[in-house]
Amino acid sequence: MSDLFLAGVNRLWRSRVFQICCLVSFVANVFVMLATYRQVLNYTELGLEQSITLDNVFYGLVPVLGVMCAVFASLFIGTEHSDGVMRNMLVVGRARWEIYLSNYAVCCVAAAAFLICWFVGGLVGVPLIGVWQDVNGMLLRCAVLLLCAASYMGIFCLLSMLCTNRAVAAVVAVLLAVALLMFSSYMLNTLSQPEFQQGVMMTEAGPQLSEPLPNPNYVDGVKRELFQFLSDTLPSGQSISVCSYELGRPVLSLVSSAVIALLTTAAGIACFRRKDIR
Amino acid sequence: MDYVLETKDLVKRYGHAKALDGLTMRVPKGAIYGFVGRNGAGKTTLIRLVCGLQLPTSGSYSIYGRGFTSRDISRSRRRMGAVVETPSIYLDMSARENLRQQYRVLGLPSYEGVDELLELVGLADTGKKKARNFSLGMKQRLGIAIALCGGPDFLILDEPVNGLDPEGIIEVRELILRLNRERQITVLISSHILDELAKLATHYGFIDGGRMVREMSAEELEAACRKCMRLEVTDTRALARALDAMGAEYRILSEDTADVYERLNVSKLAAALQKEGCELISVRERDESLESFYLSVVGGGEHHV
Repeated sequence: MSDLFLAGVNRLWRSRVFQICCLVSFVANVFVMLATYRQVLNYTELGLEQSITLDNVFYGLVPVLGVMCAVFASLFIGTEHSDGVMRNMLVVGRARWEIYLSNYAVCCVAAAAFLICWFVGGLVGVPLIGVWQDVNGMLLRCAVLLLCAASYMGIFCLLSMLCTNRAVAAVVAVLLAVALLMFSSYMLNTLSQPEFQQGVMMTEAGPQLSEPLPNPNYVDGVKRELFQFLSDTLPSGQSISVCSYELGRPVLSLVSSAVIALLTTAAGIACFRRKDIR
Repeated sequence: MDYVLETKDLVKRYGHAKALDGLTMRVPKGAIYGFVGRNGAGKTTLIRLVCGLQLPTSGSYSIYGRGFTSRDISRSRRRMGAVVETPSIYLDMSARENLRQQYRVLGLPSYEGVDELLELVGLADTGKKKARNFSLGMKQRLGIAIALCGGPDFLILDEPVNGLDPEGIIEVRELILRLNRERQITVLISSHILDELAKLATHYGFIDGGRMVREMSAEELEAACRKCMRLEVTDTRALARALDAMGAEYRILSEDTADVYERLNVSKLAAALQKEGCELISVRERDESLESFYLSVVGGGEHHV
């Protein structure tokens, strides 16, 4: 399998999609850092207090990671189908599980490279905004993101290996990534709703707080548990949580990412073994 | 005789459609095996199965004696190369990069042989030109070069001259002949261009409706298609004596029919037969082309080759 992996890595370095994704990761985080620095300067000029640290702006764009993984995996693996080169591997007797695993491993390397580029881009913020206040938290979040990317790649690798039409695979993968983000965003938004709402009433004595009323958007019981669980376990939920610096159960997130990666890869190999290649 | 590929009662279904219907064939070692059939006959399906791209619904096949379900079938596949339908090449790589990539896939320790392969297929001077800018013939030759990486001794080519211009057809044909003669590579070529196959093949397999209709050697086919006179007489033993006396080449087909493979003076033959006490009933000239032979084998029908 190492031969196939090395062949894949060699193709990875030449891949235009990979290069563009790395560049976008780097430039996007540089942009975020420069924009934040400009905001800090404005606050300082106006003499306002500001609590901006590198910790709470560093992860601003990580939710986009899912879309990036979707685009990359579907186009990179889709080329193997569209150019027919997967046949070259099968004809010379390479096992299907080897082909699948090597492609998944290459996708994970690519995702790690995106994160490294994003991280390096973020380092621009160190001389401008300062260093991390919580280094352990930063390392933990990076670990969560790394496994989150592996689980994303597990999902999109499965899709791309089984869908032989590159364009269809790319569209479905991106739509799935966006749908996951929207679903997780909805769940986290719902979870952040207060249990009671309190309004302000104008009385003769002046403004007064009204009686707290139950919030109709508040969820509790099993539904709340389920939302919390899905937010912590789905890669989209994890990336939004990291972005908003509210990672609730990091160990659960790490374990669930590993489980998703394992399950999707096992299911993908099982299906790919029976797949008719044209 | 040693066989590189043997299939037995291979069946492949796609939903309710049967692409292969109990196909049995044998490809002898060292042969150029022409796999002939109309579009949709099941040629490409068989190639996909043999290449491990798809699994048969039932039946079996073996490559170099190893069954397709055996654990070490990959060792037999390492001795194979194939171009299935369109050439399998990375369009954003040059010819050399494509070959190097296949060397990596094979896990070969060095790129030794890449230049020789490029030279062999006539792509040595393509430099950094990307494969997407190659002509169809160049892509086809690059596909064959990739199939040759690792030095296979069994090459499968699916419609290798489809869509090529006359020059491209000649180049591919000469390449296949050279590989067979100089490197002793067994070649399985599927095609429906019979005239082209006739210039290459040493063995033929005629497929129709997913079944092998007939397998024969080039000599047998040549004999079947040879120009001859078909004679109908009252006694072929008497005819044989007369033809032997005339030194003619012939083949007795039945009690009253024989083929004679040269032009004879019919009057002299009739006189010779009369002496033997035999009557000449009819004489017909036969000149069966490969196409008409194929149609007679597969039964004609709406589609024609």
